[in-house]
Amino acid sequence: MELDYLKTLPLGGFNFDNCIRNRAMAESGILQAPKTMKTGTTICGVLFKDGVVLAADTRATGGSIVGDKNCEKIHNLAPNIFCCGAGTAADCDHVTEMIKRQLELHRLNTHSENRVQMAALKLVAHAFKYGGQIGTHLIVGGVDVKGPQLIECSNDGNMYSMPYHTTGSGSLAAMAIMETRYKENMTREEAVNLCIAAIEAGIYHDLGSGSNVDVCVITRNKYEMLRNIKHDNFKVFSKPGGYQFKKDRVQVVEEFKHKLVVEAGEQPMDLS
Amino acid sequence: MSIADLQNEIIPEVNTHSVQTDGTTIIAVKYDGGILLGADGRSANNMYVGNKVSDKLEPIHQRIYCQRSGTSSHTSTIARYVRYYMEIQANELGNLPPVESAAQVMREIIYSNKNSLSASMICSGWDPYKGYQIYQVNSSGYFEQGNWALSGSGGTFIWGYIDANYRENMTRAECKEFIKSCIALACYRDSSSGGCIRLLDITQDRVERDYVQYDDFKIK
Amino acid sequence: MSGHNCVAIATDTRLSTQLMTIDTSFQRVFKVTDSCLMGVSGLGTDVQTLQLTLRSFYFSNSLMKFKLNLYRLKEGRDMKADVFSKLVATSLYEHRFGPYFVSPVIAGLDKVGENEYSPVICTYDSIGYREHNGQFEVAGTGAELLYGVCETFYKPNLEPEQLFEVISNSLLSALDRDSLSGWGAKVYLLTPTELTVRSLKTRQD
Repeated sequence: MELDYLKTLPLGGFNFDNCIRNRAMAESGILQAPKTMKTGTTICGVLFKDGVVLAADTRATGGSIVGDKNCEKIHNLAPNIFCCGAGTAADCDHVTEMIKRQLELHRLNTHSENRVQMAALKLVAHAFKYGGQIGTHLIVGGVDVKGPQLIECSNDGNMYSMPYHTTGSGSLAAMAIMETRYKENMTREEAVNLCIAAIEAGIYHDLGSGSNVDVCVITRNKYEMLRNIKHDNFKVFSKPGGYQFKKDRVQVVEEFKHKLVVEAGEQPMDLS
Repeated sequence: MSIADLQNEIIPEVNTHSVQTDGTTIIAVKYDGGILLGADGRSANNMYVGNKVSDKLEPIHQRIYCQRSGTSSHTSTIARYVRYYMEIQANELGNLPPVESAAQVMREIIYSNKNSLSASMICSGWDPYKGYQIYQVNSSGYFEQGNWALSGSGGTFIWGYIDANYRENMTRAECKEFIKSCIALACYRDSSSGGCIRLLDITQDRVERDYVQYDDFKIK
Repeated sequence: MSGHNCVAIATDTRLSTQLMTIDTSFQRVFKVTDSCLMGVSGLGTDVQTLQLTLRSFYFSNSLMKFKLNLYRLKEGRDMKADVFSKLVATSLYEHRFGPYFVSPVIAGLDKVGENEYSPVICTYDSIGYREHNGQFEVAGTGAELLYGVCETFYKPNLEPEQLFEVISNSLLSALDRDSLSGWGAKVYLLTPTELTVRSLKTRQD
């Protein structure tokens, strides 16, 4: 089925329609733009003997409110490449998702494994195009034909490679741990423990970071996602059996019921 | 309305982190039978040293290298473009591309985008047409050739030192010591230079890298 | 909020210009498909632009309604709640540099097996960060107040009527302390076979 109308629709890209309106509203004091979610993060990555370890905390903040206590900041880009994201939460989610699609297409076209360098370059090219307005601070890690790689990509389009990286608001605390305890050719155990220690430094010394520690270990042909490997900050308070409410607390004024048609399971996609 | 206008006027401030800049000392010197490039290794976001061993010596082609100072994302992107154009030119020529072309492409990019870029770069190397050459392009797009070139924030502190101590046709060893002391002195006085010294030797036959740790800096 | 094979959205009905009330029966929650509800809080004009309404001809140019209908035409089936929740995220992100001032909440049920439904509960910030933990999500001016009560009152795997009680009590407690919300509340309870809408008695100020 082809609808001519569809061809006139814009294909992807950003839409700037509301920019002028939003500025006008902000200037006349009607309404200020709402706060967006920031990851307010500590993330880090370390190279070890035969792979890469990436680690992140799990707090997302909007202003001083913790919006998400257990969010995922380690994104998958390809089977052999992962990336930690700090900065504006929406940007990290959507940019990594977009690059993931591009890499998958490349993989299918060339029948070969993606390279970490390529993933990083795509991220950096996208960030540079928007002159740092897209708030993505990423640590990309993976194992490809050239061995384990770790690259940091910042929002202004800068990338560089070192054996250990930290980013986010808690990066200073995490970097202190890295600088003192990093050594070359660590074992997997040592690398994971170092990452956990670095993220915990962020969690406990930076207000923007918190909750649990996620770790991802990537080695040749294998990755392991260790979600909430440390969870000292789970919710501890709850009333056993929960709260009971008085029946007359909730008074229903009006009720309206709408019967729904129950659909029979998954429907096949019509490809004609 | 262009994106640049939108950025400046309409889009609320979303950029939380400052940009990373190479507050740098970079120097290129011709000696008898080659060119030596030197750079420090510090990249900083305002007060925070983001990278203390950064590589400001970027390859453009087999015998052409550039050195970057300014906003590091800008300069590395420029280098990437120049590298791309030089690859094309080398394929068309079937030979090594001229250093001057690389420098001119660099100048063109910087000059035509000088309002939105912060980049000051040195482009040097060897080609079969004019031999060893050093070109410098500053952030306004001004272009010059010389026997030596100096750029970056740390350069301010060592102009006099270079004027006093530079000689034409130094030997390789002399030149290496000269560059090491130049950068060590600049790192000593400039807060945004430091970390380490990276050296690169370009001759007709080969390119060779060298590295000096911070502990081995000699100021006197 | 999610329960066992059921989800619910609770909302107040006040629309205001800063501190002045202009509408006391503003509809914020809409049925997207038979398995998905969307509630949108934020700037009134954007709420209407973004959302779909039951009276579809009335706002036939609304953004999400259009995309949803297009999907239905192309695929010959309704969009699953999970897919819709991601579509909302990308639609909001499209306006990354000139956002709609909204924060939507989505509650839906996706069939995963015989008589087994997985709840889809998520909320977004204005530029499309999708937040989902499968339990409860809050949005709007009373969000900060709701976090606290929901955190205490919520229990996993509630049956529909229990869920109604929990979500109603959470909302009523928060409304007491949010000056910008009020003027009646509505609870939308979605089970695989039925959508129940109940108006609650609240403070009228």
